[in-house]
Amino acid sequence: MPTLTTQYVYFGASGSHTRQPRSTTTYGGFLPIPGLNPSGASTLTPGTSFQANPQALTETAAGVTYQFAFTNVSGCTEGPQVSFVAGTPPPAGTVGSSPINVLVVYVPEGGGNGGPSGAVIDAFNESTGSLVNNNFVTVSPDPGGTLTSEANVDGWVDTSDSGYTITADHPNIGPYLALPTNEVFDQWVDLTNASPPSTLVNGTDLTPGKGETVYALAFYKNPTFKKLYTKDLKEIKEELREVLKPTLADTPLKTITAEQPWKGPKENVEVPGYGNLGGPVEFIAAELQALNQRISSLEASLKGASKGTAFIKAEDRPAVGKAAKKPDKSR
Amino acid sequence: MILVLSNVANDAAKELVGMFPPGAASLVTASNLNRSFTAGISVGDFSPSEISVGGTRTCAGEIGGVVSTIPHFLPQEFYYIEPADRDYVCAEVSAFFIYFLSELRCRKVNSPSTRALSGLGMQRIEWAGTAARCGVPVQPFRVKNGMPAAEDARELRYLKSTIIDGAIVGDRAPDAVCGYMRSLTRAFEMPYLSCLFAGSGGDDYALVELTDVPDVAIPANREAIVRFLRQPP
Repeated sequence: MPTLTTQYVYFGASGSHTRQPRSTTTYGGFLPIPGLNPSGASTLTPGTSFQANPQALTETAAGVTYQFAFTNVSGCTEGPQVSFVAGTPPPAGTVGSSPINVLVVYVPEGGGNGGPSGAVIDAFNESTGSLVNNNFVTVSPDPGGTLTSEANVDGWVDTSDSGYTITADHPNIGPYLALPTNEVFDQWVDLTNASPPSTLVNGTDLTPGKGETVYALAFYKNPTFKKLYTKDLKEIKEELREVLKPTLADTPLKTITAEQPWKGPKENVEVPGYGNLGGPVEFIAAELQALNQRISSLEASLKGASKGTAFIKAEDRPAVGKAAKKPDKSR
Repeated sequence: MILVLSNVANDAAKELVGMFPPGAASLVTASNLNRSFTAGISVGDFSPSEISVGGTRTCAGEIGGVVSTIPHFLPQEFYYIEPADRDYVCAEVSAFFIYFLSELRCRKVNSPSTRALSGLGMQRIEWAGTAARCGVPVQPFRVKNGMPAAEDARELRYLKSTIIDGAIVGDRAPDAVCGYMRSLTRAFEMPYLSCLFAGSGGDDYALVELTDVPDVAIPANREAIVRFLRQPP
């Protein structure tokens, strides 16, 4: 049974925080808010609907007040969902086989403690509900590359003397050690302002001005693979037997000749020209003849000139064409 | 630039290219790829990817439309490749073009899919299911060979209808068929569809065949495609 875990964490108590290697690995790289986190995890039933609870706009723990930033729910079959409104949880999702992780992120009030101004930044994977250590930004201007390095290692860009443009790696996150780089950039999130001005956040650019302090996460998602069809041919046939009961006649047609308005497969090859009623087999059969003739002429014009070869050696290639075709047992 | 993908034997594709202003459209076939097509793809930011077609250099973002008149390249079209390597080269080039066409942000007749350079490459049993679900009657057919199941097939009247960019091309079709065509083009999200309907009388037409690879041999289709691609963005 999939487990349900809820974590209350905060981000950005101080400016510079080591990302590479990350000094804290618990709670997905965030710091837990004392006293709020339940112990253990409950279980959920696969196939049921799940929605996180609304959250409080502020939380106080150990004398520190924390402002709500966002709630992220990961693990549902629909993919990750996020809400930036405390009283409105992310949309409901369906429990699958993966654990459900509810991550509620806050920002401590008065963060920075009077230190230099700057951008406190990190990369957040919505699909896993955790911070990730990959290189993820480029800072400009940065002739020596030191600001970019500091941004990626320490999650910090000092704006005391100048404003900067911090560009998130896109479409994919950058490399670090052997970490995967297939996560795709989604958005910059200003943790203290759910609707930041375009002068601060514009697409992949975060642009804090001189003397400005910002707490921001670059949101990334694991890629989703959209299948054109989620069922194989056999499943489709079974389903269509119900949808198209009067339409399907699952018996072979014995006589396929020109006596009917259709040409048979044999005639399609042997009798040139159109005249059939459409469809890929007929289309290919008629054009193939003309194409082969034209190709023969072109090939003859080469007059024995050397021909090209594939760059990949034969032994290193996957099977293609007829060699890759599996026998269709459903027919 | 408009790209027209076809094969070397399709003279109608050449005519289609000629219907655009000089230099505005280029024909790409597997048989001349070795001489007339190069591409330097920028994976991170596709739009500035440089391509050269027939000696004209441009970038991917400048391609204003694509017409793919073929569902696949065929190995024999790569006659300039050693025969033993043609299957593999064909598979690689097809994969590249499906990627390339998918990344272009322009009008496409039709968009590629994982199965075909143009259209969804569906089997009959697949499009029949979708058609039935959006209320289009489907002519009974045999599962094993796709032939019409009705014994009186010869008595049926056939009507072919093509839709491009939401408009029925050619002769006026019955309202019911026009409605079916619009439902199908929306359901499959393809600007070009050509369908064959059968009816035994009246307006009771049922879908017999569906093709989503543009047939540019028909002049009215070519004209409609040119109109579609020359519309302002």
